[in-house]
Amino acid sequence: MHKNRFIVLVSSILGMLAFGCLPEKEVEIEIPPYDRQLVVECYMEVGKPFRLLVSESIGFFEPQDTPIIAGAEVVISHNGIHDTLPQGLFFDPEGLKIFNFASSEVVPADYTTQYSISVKYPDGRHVTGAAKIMPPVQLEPMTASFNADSNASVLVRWLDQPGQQNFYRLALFKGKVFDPNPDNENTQLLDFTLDDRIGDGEMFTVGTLFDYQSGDTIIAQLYHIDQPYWRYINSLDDAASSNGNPFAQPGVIRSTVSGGIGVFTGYLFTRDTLIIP
Amino acid sequence: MTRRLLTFLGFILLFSLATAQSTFTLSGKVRDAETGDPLAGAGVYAPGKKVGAYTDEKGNYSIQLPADTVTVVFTFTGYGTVKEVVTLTKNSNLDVKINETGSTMDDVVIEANSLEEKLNSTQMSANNLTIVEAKKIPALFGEVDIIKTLQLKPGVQSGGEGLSGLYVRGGGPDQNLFLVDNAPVYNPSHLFGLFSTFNGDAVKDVTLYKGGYPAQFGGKLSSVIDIGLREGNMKKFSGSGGIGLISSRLSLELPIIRDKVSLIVAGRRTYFDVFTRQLNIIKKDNPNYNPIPDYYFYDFNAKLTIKASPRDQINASFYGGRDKFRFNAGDFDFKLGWGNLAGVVDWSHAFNSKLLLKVMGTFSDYDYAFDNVFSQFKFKLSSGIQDFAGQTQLLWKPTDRHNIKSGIAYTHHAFAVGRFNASSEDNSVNFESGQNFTGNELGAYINDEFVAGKKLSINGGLRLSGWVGGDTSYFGLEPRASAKYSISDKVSIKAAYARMFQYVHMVSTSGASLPTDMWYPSGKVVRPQRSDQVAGGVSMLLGKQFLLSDEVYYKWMNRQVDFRDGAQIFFNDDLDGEFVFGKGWGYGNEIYLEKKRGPGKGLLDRLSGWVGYTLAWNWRQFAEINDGNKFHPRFDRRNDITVVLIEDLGKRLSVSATWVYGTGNAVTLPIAWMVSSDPVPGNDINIIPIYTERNSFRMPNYHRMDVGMVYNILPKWGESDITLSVYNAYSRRNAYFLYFDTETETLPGTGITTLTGFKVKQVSLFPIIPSLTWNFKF
Repeated sequence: MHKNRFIVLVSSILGMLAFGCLPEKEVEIEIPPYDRQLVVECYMEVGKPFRLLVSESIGFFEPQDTPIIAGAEVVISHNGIHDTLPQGLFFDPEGLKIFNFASSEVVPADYTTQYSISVKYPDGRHVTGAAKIMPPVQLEPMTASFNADSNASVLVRWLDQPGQQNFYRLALFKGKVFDPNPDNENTQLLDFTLDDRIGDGEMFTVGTLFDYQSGDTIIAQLYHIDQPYWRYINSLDDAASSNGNPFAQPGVIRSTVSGGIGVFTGYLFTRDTLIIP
Repeated sequence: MTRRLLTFLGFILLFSLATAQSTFTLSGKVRDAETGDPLAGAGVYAPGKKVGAYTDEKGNYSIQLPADTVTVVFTFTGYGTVKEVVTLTKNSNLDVKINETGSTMDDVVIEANSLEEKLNSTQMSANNLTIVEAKKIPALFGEVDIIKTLQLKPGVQSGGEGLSGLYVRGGGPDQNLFLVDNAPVYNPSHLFGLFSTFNGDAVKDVTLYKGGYPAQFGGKLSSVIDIGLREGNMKKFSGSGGIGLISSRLSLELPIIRDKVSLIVAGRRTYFDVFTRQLNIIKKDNPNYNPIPDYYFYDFNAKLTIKASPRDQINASFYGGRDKFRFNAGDFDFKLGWGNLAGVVDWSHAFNSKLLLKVMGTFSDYDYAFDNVFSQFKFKLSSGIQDFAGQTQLLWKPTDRHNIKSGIAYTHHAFAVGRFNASSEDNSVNFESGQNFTGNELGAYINDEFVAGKKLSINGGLRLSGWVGGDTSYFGLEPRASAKYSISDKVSIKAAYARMFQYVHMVSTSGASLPTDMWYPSGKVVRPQRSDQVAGGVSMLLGKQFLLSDEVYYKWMNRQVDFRDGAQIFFNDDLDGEFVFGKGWGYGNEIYLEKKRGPGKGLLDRLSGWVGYTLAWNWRQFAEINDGNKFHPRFDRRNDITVVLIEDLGKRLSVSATWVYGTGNAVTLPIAWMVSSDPVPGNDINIIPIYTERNSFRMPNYHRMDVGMVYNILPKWGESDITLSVYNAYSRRNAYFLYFDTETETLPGTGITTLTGFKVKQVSLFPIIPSLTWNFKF
């Protein structure tokens, strides 16, 4: 977070020195041939069906087909069960998420079983992965504090489990978690990851700016995630923010699966809602 | 075998012939030009012959020189430098008077570093620049920058457009040892590297060693930048300064006790924050206006010189500089500051004309800190390094053929790495993290500049370095050697070898050099870096005004340090686990044609400057980066050309032009893309670029011309000039970075936007930038 903020500030200084916007123009470069890879993103969310999106990566200057592909064989295994997921087009209305493989089976609240995934494509590409579902971490009730102008800041807290490495993802929303009307403003306020290296076993506190008024509804969702997924999210962020950032050293995407790109992970997020008094 | 024996005998015969040359004594007296007083302890030196001495208490000197035409240089602290060319056919007498320090004498210093000296010097892979020279060369925003001028020398590259970082013979910016009057400076840049921290009014000269390092230097792998600060005028109160586009500067020189004690103080500050604050006030009611952050930097130099006795001199130098950046928007207040402090106290004592002792203590501090107030929370993130050091040096000239330098040095380092502190008004948050380390660096060396004969001179040395800290210790032997053989009085060949160890490492949070880079000590996991460099070359005088030199080099670097991909740099109390280690190597050829100003008044005589060409390759290899395959570092530059031309058009006017051309930087670009469907509500499907090989692409080639003009006003009260600099005179749009942009189209009647392809865009930084600076001196 600090690094990105710093980069923005550096860019503004450099831009200021250049007396205006930085000039740009289109150029041509040659890029080497690229072999497409399967991209598998499967988030096992307790209480929701097993489901995933299978796509493939595409070279920049290839014909731009749709990356979402059909014809793969997807099997999720656990406790001796091998569940072959049917192909289709599936929507999750909460967040308008799209999947092309989904099971009728629901992900159980089983935090000790090892789950595995196999995605085979007729041309021989084969992606595999394994993961356990991370147990949830409870949020403390959110609180609000007010400045002299009666604007509110919201505090979100949770207690870290001591003696183990924990990784978290926290998302904050205003009003509702998702508004399907595209004309309305995005309700998401914050979304970031953090780990407990600096406070093992301590109470974590995240606060907002004094941007809210009495009557506003603030919703917090805390995801207790595993380290491979934490690495994957951050490598995606780094890759995305490296494009157009002269100070970045781009890195590869750190997948949690082998044989392709992607993630196989599981969690149960916890949620707390505060109506600012 | 027979051939080897003949070669050996031939060498012995050559050596005997060389040493059998007849020598004569040059003696005389050195006096103060104004008072006529004899000057004790003045230096008398024949650079081309590696012979020198100090004057005794009565100002007398005596040196042995071969029968030849020889340049003899006379120097005295606080005075200018006098150069005399003498032809010795018998024992001779030469009395010399030296003036007080003045601009005219500064000019002489440049000329004193003659082409003949360079031809005959044993030292290779070195470049010397005076501030007078740098002031004649056009500069970005008119800010004279002696470090950026070094970038115009072969084998030295900048990190990017307008930046002052140095990349020397394949080494990184952390592998340069910056010394200001022998005190190290860890981050020698202002404004994220756009300007160096060295105020031109305070600097006397700078010497850059790219290889063949003398044994007195150690601690960094790739270069030594030895910056000398000016001493104050011993005779009269004087000053100089200037008003430029982005900063103003002033220096004052004060003879506290005439001929005994002088002081020089110099300061510089930028003032664009003054204008941006006013602009922010004017536009504060405009809801669409984004306030411009506050930014300024300043630096300050002071040097006290005390001639305690004819044999003793004490100097105390101080440097301080800081950058301050602030962005305040309601309950978000962001401050970033970084800066260096450095101080030196040194005492030199001449026991006699052959033995000189120097003792010095130095202090250096570099730190940066983000200070962030966010609503009711406060965060502070900081890092720094602090050194206390002491060293002694003994200079001994037992005979005219030997110049022995030996010494010991000790440095105590203290590191603060990634210190993070967070707190809240209600104390619900209060924690800190980060690491503190200490370490002790040791050095002992001996070096002999040995004149083996008229044609052969050798500079051999050995440095023993060591590190004690982090529950471990390391020691290293660093042999240094260079030799010069004169094929004729116009041509010499040279060779050098040097090993260096680096015990303190900079770990970069980005691909560029930024103030947030941290210094980190050697320990059990991070072991000392090591480099070995060999170089060979030939120098050739072409007439009296041109020197052509060609050097080839190969450098190996072990135990290079980098962060692994996705390393957790902040909020991490165990950074050791985030490093990866590898090796680097580089090789190249540097061709350099230098032209000195001639005595005549023709256009060619008035021309000075140089043309440099470097052909080089640089590589890095880490098991955990780029799948273990070797790759070019970002600053790898296959071809590099620099042209610097300065034409003196009389007392009033000089014009200059520089042109640089370089292969584009090696960069990492994505070659494919994928979609990512994030599970958190509100996050759209994202297009993620996929990077594969590190630095496998090239930016477009870089070229730029700068032009400048210095117009001397010649007032009665002193000196004054108007300096015009035009940066990027033909407004070349050089690439600052490249990025991929999406091409989309909206389906008619639906409002749905679809992706149709990608295009690559190049972003440039500086167009043509003219600037005017007014300089004065009294």
